[in-house]
Amino acid sequence: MLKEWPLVAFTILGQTAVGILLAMGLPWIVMGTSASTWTGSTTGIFLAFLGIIFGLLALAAGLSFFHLHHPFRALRVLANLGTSWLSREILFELTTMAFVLLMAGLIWAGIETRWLLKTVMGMACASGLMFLFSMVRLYRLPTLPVWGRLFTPFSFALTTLSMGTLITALIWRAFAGPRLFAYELLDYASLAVLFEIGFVLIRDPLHGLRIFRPVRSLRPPERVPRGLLIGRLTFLGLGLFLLLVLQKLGLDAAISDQWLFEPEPGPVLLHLGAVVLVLAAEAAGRFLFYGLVPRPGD
Amino acid sequence: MVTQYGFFFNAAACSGCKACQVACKDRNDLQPGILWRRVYEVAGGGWEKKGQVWVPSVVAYNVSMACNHCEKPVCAYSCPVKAISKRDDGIVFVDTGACIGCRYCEWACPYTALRFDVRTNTVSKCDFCFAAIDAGGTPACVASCPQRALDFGDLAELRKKYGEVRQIVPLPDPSQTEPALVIKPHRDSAKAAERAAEVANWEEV
Repeated sequence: MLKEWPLVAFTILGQTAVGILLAMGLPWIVMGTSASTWTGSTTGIFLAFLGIIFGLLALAAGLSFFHLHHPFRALRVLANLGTSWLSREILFELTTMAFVLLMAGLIWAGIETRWLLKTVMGMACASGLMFLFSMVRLYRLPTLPVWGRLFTPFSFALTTLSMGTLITALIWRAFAGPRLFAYELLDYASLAVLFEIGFVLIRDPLHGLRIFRPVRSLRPPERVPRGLLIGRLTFLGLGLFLLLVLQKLGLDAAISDQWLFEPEPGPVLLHLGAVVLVLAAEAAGRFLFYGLVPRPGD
Repeated sequence: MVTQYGFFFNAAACSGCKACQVACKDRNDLQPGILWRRVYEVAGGGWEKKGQVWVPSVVAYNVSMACNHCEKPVCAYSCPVKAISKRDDGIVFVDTGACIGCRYCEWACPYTALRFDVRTNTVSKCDFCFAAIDAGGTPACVASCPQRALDFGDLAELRKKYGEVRQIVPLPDPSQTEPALVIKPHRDSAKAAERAAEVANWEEV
């Protein structure tokens, strides 16, 4: 199970990058200010966002090489786009990175054409969603009932939403970025974490706690530590608690029409703590996910 | 010309001696821990009360299983680099020179036919002894079986000769991959599901 750490890292980082892209890009497409009205700091934070998204996607791709035993042959990984969701997953990751890079290039070059920027951002978001979709399809194999259930898409989507909104809000808070649109990210982050707790508890409370193995199977029985589910719920609960503290203190409120957050170190650290806790929860959940399907001979 | 080779397995005749497993390892020089053909010992049941008497209700039999060279090879469909392909005679084989070692096919195959080989850092699996087949020979497992519980040939011919059964407990739903496999079931296999029979030798397979 622990051998799957490159895939745990790849899926969580990839989903986080898509989450940030969606949390930042979609509201900007719908209600964002035009680039022609941006100041230097607006352009700066926009580029910082795109750089972080690109960096996370590149890091995810780089770490995924550690699960390949012949990484130099990976150049042919797009060879089977016709039937392999693994090929398609990598294709959509690369197109997402390309659109993010193009968007950054346009902003860097000072191109302010509103429809062009929003079209490129829209393409980046659509490509990111396809990346997420192909990731889900990759694991929802008809021959693997344990991953074929609805738990997989919901779990991946909730990771995307909770990590995406949390880190988007953290970046905004850390950089004290200017307000590009008016919506409270922490409300959505808290809701996503709450949904994730509720989903694990209500939709599938026994996920990982029972031996889910159809009678007719030649797959070896799994021996995943049951504590991972408890760990996931505990970390999510603690993360949610920190988010609620932040909101209770009113630290997430916009202090003016122009600035979204006040650049104070206290809230940043509290917020960072929430991110670390939710990230730990996602890692525990993902190790549990991979542990449910042991490889024969391992 | 054969368009789809397949295996026949007679569960009623198999004694579980594992000669097929050993012959396969010997022919293909497989290192310890890698089994292209495996013999699963299936066991279940216990005691049940009939009237005033307790009688044994044990079910026990063996299943010898390798790659089934499926008509719908999900391993090949899932491989991102097309390292797994199907020959004109239906044999599915791994090109270890192209495999990137991502091991996704291991998850895709419901028969767990693909095994990771640390010597080559690629997956490997039964290749139907195609070198021997091409030279007019016989797969090692078939040739070695003292009970003649294994046979091979054109799938259509095997079905004519032995019937259409291709699933007994604990084999997965054959509609997922359309395995090129024909089975003569052991008499206990009909009651295996209701008596919660399971593989009893996981540490060996």
